[in-house]
Amino acid sequence: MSRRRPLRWKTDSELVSAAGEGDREAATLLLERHYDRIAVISRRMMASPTDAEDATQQALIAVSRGLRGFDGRSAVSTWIHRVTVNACLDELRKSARRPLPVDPVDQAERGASFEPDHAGVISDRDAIDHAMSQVAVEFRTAVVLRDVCGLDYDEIAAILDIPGGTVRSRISRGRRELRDRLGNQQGVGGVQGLEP
Amino acid sequence: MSDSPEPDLDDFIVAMLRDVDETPAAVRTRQIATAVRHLRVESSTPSRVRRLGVAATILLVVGGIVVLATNSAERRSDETISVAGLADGAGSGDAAEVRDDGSKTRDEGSDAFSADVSTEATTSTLATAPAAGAQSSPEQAMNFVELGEFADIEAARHAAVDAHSLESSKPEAADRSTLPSVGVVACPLPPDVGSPLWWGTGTIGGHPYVMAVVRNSGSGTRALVTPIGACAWS
Repeated sequence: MSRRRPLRWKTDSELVSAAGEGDREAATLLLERHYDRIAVISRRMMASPTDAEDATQQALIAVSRGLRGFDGRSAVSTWIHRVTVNACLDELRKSARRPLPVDPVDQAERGASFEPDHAGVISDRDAIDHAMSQVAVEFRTAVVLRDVCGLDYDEIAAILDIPGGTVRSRISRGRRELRDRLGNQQGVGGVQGLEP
Repeated sequence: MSDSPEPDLDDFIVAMLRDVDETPAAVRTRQIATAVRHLRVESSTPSRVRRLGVAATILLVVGGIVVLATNSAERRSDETISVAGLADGAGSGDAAEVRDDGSKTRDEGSDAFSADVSTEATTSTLATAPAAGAQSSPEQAMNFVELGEFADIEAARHAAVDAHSLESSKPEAADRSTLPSVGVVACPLPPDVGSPLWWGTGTIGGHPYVMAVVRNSGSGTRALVTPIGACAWS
């Protein structure tokens, strides 16, 4: 009698198939596997930890709903990245209608769980958060997928459904904008270690 | 598009970008559980059958709305009355001559009265009944004749019966469902008239009439008559 392979040993594709047939345990395991990636993309795409938590939840729901219809034309991870980016873009559109605080310190206080014992760490995080929120969303997305998630250009192109050249261009412009904005914040909030 | 590699971000910046707070376990578990609840499960019902079911449901709903709208329109169509036509048109009562111009006089021994053929008549004067059976225009023939305003339904009924020597077929307050069921005749009431409180049938000069007692918009009651012969028979 053959042993059934434990769920945790199954590939993403196998988990997607099982979840598509209603296996909730498979769906849970799949979401567990990709949770950190979804969360970090959401955190860096959104302006605040609170918005990031909302975006993460929406991304998880979108992945769960789409499991039955996943056709396997792309890798599961590519598909999950795409769903996450789209969920973040939707949340950004919604939050654009809400008033946003101007002061990055206010932004952090809205929902941050920063460690309060090192003023330097808090101010660097504030600076990064604020600078990223100021970068144009299409450049920000490319920078997040490249520099935060470590994806290659082809995969980013597949996720964003844009040509490879456009991926490079957006990454370049996003990095330049981020540096400029971080550089402009020198001397404000005690930003340390950031070079223009 | 330039082929030169874009400058990498400083390692410190990259490190900061990747440095995000770990989501608390309770939040993580809750979020995943919420998402899994949205898992779409393959239905055992074939999709074609489901689509047919949805289409049938939509048709039923639309059909129901159409039926309701039609019924509502019919009810609003000027308060038509379904009355029983007299089988033979014969009846007691004083014979009365009806002139082509709509005026009417009573035979000797009857109370004289005159009627205006008007759906807007609200006067307290007696009006002349339209030419019964004289093939006047349908609109004119179907106009009710105002007999006047009375203190209550009984007074109006008696006035109508007495004035025209009509038989009273239904002494109590009536609606369509209590009318004599000898055929069905639809005679629209004037538009300013409410639902009939009572109606009866009889003859004037051998021609069948139906009359109605209706509530005034203010107070009191009105008595109206119209020739059955001019109404549509079914």
